[in-house]
Amino acid sequence: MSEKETLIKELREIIKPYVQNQEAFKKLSEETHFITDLEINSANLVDIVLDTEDKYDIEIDNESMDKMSDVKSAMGVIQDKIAAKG
Amino acid sequence: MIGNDIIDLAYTQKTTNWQRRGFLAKVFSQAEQELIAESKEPFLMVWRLWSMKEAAYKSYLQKGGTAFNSPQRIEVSVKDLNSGKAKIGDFHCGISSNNRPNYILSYTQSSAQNSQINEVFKISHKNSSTPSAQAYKKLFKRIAIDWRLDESALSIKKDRARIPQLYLGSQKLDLDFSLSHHGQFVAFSLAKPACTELKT
Repeated sequence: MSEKETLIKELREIIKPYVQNQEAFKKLSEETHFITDLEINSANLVDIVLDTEDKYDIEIDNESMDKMSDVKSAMGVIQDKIAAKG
Repeated sequence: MIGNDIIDLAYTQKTTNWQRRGFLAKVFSQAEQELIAESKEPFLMVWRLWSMKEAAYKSYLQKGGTAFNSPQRIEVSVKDLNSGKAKIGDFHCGISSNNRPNYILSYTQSSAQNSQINEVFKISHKNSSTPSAQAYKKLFKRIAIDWRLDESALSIKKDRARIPQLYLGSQKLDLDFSLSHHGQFVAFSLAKPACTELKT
């Protein structure tokens, strides 16, 4: 499994408990939007950020949180933060 | 521009653990966290401040503001039990909050000469339509009565920024309103113009 495939699989697990639209979740791709497609509520978006921080031992600041609107951008934030840890 | 937000208190208790490590620090400024810490009912203060942020954000988006995710970018302060203010960059607004046993409803205040209608409904489970559709129907009913319009010709379409816009047939109506749904509740806020002339 490529690094990207692993990351998308892990991200799936993180967002799973907060998804309201299960149909959209089944078809999850990099383009899937957290709020408009998965209908995740904004309080649970905070949970996703906190769960992501815990899982990868990274800190997601306000700027990075603003970018985390879809699967692709969330993967980008995680990769950047992990790379910055060195 | 009106923004509103409803919080179903029982639902939020089930779906969000505000006491989890890091949650308050992600969402609230230092000053807001102090308000929560000093409050006799921190749970209610958390969700009051949260709903104020959401209401302000919706109003900001309607004014053409750029979308973002971080709730910390919205700074809120409370004046008394029912009113407060919000600030997002250069954007400022006053906000009212109603705290009822089962929900908190917050809405930005429209200009003083206009009266504003704020209504809350419980979602009917006997009704097979979605919560949004049920909220739209309540809003259409109210608009049809107050503006003497044909209820069946009213519809809502979302624009590019995903903000709901009201239409009469194919004509866009210049009405200032906001819709919110959370758990068992839907709410709408609607500005009543001083005269009933509708600009299209």
